[in-house]
Amino acid sequence: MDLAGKTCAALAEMEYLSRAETRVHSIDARAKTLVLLAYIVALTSMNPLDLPGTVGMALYPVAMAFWSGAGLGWTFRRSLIVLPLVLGIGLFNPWFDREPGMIAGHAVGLSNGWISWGVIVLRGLLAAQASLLLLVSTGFDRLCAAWAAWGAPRLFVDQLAMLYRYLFVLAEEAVSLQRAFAARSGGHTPGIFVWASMTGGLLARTVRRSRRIGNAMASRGYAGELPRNATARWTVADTAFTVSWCSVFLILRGLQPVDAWLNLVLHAIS
Amino acid sequence: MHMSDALVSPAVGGVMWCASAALIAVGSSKLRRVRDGMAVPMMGVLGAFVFAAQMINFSIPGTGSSGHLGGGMLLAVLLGPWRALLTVASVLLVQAVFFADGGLLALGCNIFNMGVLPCLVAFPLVARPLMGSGSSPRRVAMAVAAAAVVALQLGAFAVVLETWASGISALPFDRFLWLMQPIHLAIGLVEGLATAAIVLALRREPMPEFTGLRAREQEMTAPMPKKAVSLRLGLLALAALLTGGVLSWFASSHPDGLEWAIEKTEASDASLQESETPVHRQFSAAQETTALMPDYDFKSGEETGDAEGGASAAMWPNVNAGTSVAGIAGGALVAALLAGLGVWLRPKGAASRAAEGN
Repeated sequence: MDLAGKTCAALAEMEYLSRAETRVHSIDARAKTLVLLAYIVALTSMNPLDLPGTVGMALYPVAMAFWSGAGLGWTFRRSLIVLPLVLGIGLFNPWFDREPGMIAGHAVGLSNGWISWGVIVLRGLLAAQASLLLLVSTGFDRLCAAWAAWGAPRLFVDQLAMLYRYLFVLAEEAVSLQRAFAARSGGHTPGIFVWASMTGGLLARTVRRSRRIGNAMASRGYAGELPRNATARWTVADTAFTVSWCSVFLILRGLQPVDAWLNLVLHAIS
Repeated sequence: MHMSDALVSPAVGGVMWCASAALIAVGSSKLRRVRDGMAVPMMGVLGAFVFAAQMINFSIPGTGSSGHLGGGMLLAVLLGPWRALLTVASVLLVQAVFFADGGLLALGCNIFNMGVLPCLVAFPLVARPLMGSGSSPRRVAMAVAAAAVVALQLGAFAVVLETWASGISALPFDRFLWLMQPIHLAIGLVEGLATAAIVLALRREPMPEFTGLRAREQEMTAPMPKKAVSLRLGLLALAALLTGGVLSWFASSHPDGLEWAIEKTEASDASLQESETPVHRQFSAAQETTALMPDYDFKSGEETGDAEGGASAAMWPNVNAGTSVAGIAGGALVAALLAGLGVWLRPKGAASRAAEGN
């Protein structure tokens, strides 16, 4: 399958997963967004040489992958998109930092550069997994409603919702365009002028579509702001979810229990 | 050019979030005043178009590789700077939550690098002056291509600055800069050509909705209501207080990127001390006398012991009243300096209009 086809399939898969009805799906989108932000701050503020501590931070995405029904395999595969960047930038660390490194207070025969490279890669994967799991455990419409409830500008949220609605339609058009060209050219990639003609045609159709949508909205009473459902009520379960996870992150980040446990194990072995 | 959460520190990510969110709020407020009923469907559908267009690659002759549309400059040309900024921010948000392309912490950096710089800097300062009245298609295409190159160069430079300020990558600033700028010059040329080709292709069909090619836009000159300005200033002040007063406790005790780079690649402490001249010593003594809060903390009579220092460095978060006061005072000082600069640079016409209004 080509890139455009894969993107369309991924979009449809995430939309399907986000409509599941698990306990995690019933938690308020604001609670899950707060927990995700706390997680990313805790994760990215870890010591760049604390590999065991960073491994411990995998607890949140692993738990959310199970509870949301997305599964570990799917979550891991989808997060691999960040690998080229973090591998590329992180690979300079072993080159510049050659001091002997330690894990949980024990020499392991690796330089600090390799340890910090491992932390960067792990951090990138875990942050990506946590973000994906927010989406598949919530759904984009509920996320938009939560951000609007927090005071995000209405115009921004409205056009974000509109973008999401038409993403599927235009992505399918892009797939059709690319397949039509591939079928006539023996699978070649178009040159820039053919590409501009194809994309310009898609843009012209997009603009005509937006005119029709705008007119249809105006005829149904649209006056600059989309109608919005009442914001869901914040419940005790939402508070419990937020407080529990933030406490877990504070413990993992502040007390570093994984380091202490690994130190004990390595000490016992040696 | 998407930054990843793995390469951004919470402090840098937080600051860039505040900057991008403030600009999005300003843009939304300006556009709400314009009252264009077609704006929301047009922005939403064009955002979806950019997303879809990025799926279609074109081949780059002689390299064996392929490229795709960036979108920021094209949207600025089609929609105007502020609408384009909101649309690019939406595309980046969808990419972050759907495809983990750039993270949520790095979203502020990505919006700034790929939205603010092309739409609010390169388009008004490079594309518009170069395209003149917009009647010559060739001139418009050249202006758009040049602006795309400038936008990519600025964006790449911002990526280097943000990564260096985060202090996570060991790559020294100058070497990272030498890696990023030339490759983004090539990418910028390709994107500039692609954007220019679409703009030329579009000129066959008149589209009155596209406001970006007009010389002056209503949205650029629409004033913000005083209440909205006060509310936003208040929110920004609160965010600055929180960042300086509380988030400073979470700052890393490790050396920053520049210190790290100097430590690893340039010179040892001993060689730095050897190269000290009387001028260095005089400036250092003057700094010690004038610094109200050295090392972002209260001045102490005696230096604390190594053991105590080591313990406080290891503690996280490092809850310290001195750090909070230093953060808040520093923020207030910068705000006062910028406000003074703004008053000084304000055009005379604006000052007299404000006086008339009062």
